[in-house]
Amino acid sequence: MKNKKKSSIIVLLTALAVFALAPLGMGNYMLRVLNVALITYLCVLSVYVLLGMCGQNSFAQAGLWGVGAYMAANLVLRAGFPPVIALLAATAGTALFAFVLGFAFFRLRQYYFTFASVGLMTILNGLFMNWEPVTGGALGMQNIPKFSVFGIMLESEKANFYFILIICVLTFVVMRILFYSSIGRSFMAIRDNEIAANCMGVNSLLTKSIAFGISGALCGIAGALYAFLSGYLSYQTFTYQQSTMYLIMIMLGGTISPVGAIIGTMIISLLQEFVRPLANYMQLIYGAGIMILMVVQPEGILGGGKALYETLHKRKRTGPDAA
Amino acid sequence: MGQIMQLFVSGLSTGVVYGLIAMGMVLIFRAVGVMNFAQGEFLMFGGYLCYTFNQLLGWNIMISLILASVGMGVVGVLFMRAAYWPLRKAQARAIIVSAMGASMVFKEGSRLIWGSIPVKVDRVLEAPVKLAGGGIIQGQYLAIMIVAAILMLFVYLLLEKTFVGHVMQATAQDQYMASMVGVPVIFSIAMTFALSAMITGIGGGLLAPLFFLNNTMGSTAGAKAFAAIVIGGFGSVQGAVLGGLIVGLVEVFGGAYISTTYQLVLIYIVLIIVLMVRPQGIFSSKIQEKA
Amino acid sequence: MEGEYASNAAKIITEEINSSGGILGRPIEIVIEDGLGTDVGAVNAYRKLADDSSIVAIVGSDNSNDNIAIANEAKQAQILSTAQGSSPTLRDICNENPWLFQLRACEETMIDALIGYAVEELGYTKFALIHDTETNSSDQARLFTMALEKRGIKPLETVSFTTGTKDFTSHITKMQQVQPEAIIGACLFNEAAIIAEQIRAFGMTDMPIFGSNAWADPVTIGLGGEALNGVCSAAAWVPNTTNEKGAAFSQKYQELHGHECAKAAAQIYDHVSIICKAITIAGNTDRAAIRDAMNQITDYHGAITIYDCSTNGDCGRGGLVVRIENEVAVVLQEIYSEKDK
Repeated sequence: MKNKKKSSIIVLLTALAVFALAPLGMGNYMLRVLNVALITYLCVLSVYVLLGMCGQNSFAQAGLWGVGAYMAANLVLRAGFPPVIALLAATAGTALFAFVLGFAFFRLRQYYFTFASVGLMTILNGLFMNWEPVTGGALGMQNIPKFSVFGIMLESEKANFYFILIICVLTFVVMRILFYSSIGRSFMAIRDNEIAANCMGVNSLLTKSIAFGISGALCGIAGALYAFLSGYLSYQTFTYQQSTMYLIMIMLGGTISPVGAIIGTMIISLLQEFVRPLANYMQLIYGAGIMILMVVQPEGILGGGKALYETLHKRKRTGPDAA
Repeated sequence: MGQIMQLFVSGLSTGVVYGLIAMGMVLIFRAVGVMNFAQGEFLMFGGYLCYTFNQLLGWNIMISLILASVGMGVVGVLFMRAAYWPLRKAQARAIIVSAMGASMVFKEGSRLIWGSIPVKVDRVLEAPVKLAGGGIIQGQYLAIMIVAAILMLFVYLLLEKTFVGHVMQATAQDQYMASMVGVPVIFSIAMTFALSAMITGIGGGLLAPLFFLNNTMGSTAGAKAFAAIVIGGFGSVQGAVLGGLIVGLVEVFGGAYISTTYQLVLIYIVLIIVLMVRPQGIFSSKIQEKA
Repeated sequence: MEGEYASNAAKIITEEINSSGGILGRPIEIVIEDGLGTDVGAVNAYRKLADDSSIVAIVGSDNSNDNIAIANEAKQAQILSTAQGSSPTLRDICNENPWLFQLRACEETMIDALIGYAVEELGYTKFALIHDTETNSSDQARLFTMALEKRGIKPLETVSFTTGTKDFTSHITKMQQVQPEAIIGACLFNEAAIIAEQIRAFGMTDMPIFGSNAWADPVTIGLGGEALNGVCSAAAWVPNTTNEKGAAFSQKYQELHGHECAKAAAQIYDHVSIICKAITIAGNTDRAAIRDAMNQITDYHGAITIYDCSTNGDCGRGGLVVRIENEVAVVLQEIYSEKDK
């Protein structure tokens, strides 16, 4: 147990070091890619909480991301709230929204919840596109100011990078705490065997709704951050395709830990940019790659790493005994 | 009154189309217990195959449809071999993600092969037909309904009355036991996928003259078929067809009387309501599903 | 899909300019980056190009949302950028943004000319309007309504739909109920073809249709065939345009690529040509100098229309009113208006 905590701290510190040094020598373009990747990471983390910890598959995460974004944008542009309040309110608002919906949706068994989430995603995207008074309709919302706190405005891409990085680190830590907490264990109990969990006194409906609420909070933060970063919101960003992308990212990285979320998000986000010359064939390679990945290692990179580690470990142990 | 008749007729026509796709999806669901997220792409790909035979090679539409469906049968088997079979013991979500990957391959592959400019295909029946109540139905829709009816009958007879069908059902109910009693499981599942792909592919070829083909049309089609299955009930072919008809009618009447803008949203609201009230759909499932 | 036309056109113009000595004595090169259809992707693609110091100007994509997303980027990166969109919102954005140019006639002028033709020359007063809810089409619908109101008319019924809708029975039924003399349609290629077909299938074979520019595009006609006959539209471009340069380009494109030249290609052709003209006027490849030179171009004759770039928005000054006859778009009138200075 101690070893696990130690190793995750090491991972965290290494990742931090890499990230903190990254912006040196990076142009605006790469920094924006990184910033969006970090925001995407928050959404993928929401999938981790819901799927990796609680075993529920949702396709509505990009919709929740949009809810957070439009909420924050409206609070700042139309109601004149300062960005910090807007960020917090968007987080809480999306969390509440997801939590309440959870009560409606989680009465359904796992499979059906997934379908309902597809329905939710479509409805949300439809609203983003058509509900002009709130979302600006098809044209979207423009001129959202950059994030500012205590009068300091985060104008440059670099400043935004550090800000978003800090938030990502905080959420990572919170997720780790969640993992070791009793509610985290309830999530995992439901994931592993819902009926047994019920027998042990875990309230399915409430627990799953909390998980949905937490995932909503993460998407809400991501949404608000995105609204401030890009300054422009349109329905074309918050689509069902985007939700499926999150699922693919976490499957690639491995659903067993938030580190999987980081790995999957970074690889795919950066891959999109680095293989631009192949852009025409990108989606094709992607699709084939995903199929191969699922066959070779459905547990993702982390799962593969774990398996590798265990085989090596086994070999070490049986070594001296092999005489 | 004439208007309601027209709306009804159109709703049924599009509903039959969704039902066809849904039928294909249900066949796979019954066989392997997982939703096929690439079903819409079967529709698109089948349509494009038909286009190749009919427009690029200039052959007669009926021949093209038959050839396209044979082609789709092959595609179905390949799809099963690549996307499902290696994962048959894995968790459901791995299969889902693999199917998503496959749908990307289909989409991009189609774009690279046939280009991104929308294309069309010849009709089977040209002239519009006037109905007694005052509605007009396009000849092609009539063709679709006839073909759909034939296919449904065929599938029903196949599954319920023939040995092959019984083998397929047995595999669907319990793969392990089926293999114990000597059923060639992989063969049976391959047949199911092939059948599903063929049915959906024919649907694509029949739809193409009406709605035209482009490589992204699979997603909306798949989404509506998916709604159809949930509403009609997972386990059964009749459920899928009925679900499709309901979706078609909701779409058309909802559009006319509530809002044309939110047509798709309406369908999904109905879907969610059905999930709340009667999650197993109208015809309940006979088959146990993968947890 | 527009990407295919765009890259074909890019090849043609590059070859044309380079074979006649290039610009400032050097060959031009066009680098293409894919925006991947989302505004996140568009911004990334834009930034990648802007960061490359050898790139002197950027031509934006055909997607309105993309253009709005990159507007701020253009200001930050300080590189001459052109937008292909025709919306009035874009015009306003361009007028406030020194670096972004709208090289197209604003839809307002075009739609006004079309409605003018419908109301003043053909005498229709009762219209029903059907439009897609995506950005471009919603904008166009708004402009159609404005143009009608200018002439004291209101559309009797307005119905909208989401892109990808295949069955328009509810929409057509609703429109039929108000018994219009003509139908106005604002949407994209696929839907335009389907709507035209379904309107005819419902028995309204003679119903006049006035469509947004996508209706007159060869892609739409290719899909809808004879259902499109009789449709009038105000288009920036049709393959048999009466514009001299345009006609030459159209023919060349058809010969090289085997299919008709669509608007997407002609736009790239013009955008690149104008930018090259600006570079020639500037005399060097400094980004700011080129931008300043752009503002000096007031009478450039392109393949689509004449361009006046003295203000950034609404630089294209005209287009064509066309009617489709025998599945070919035939020019009825050329639109041209001076810029209000």
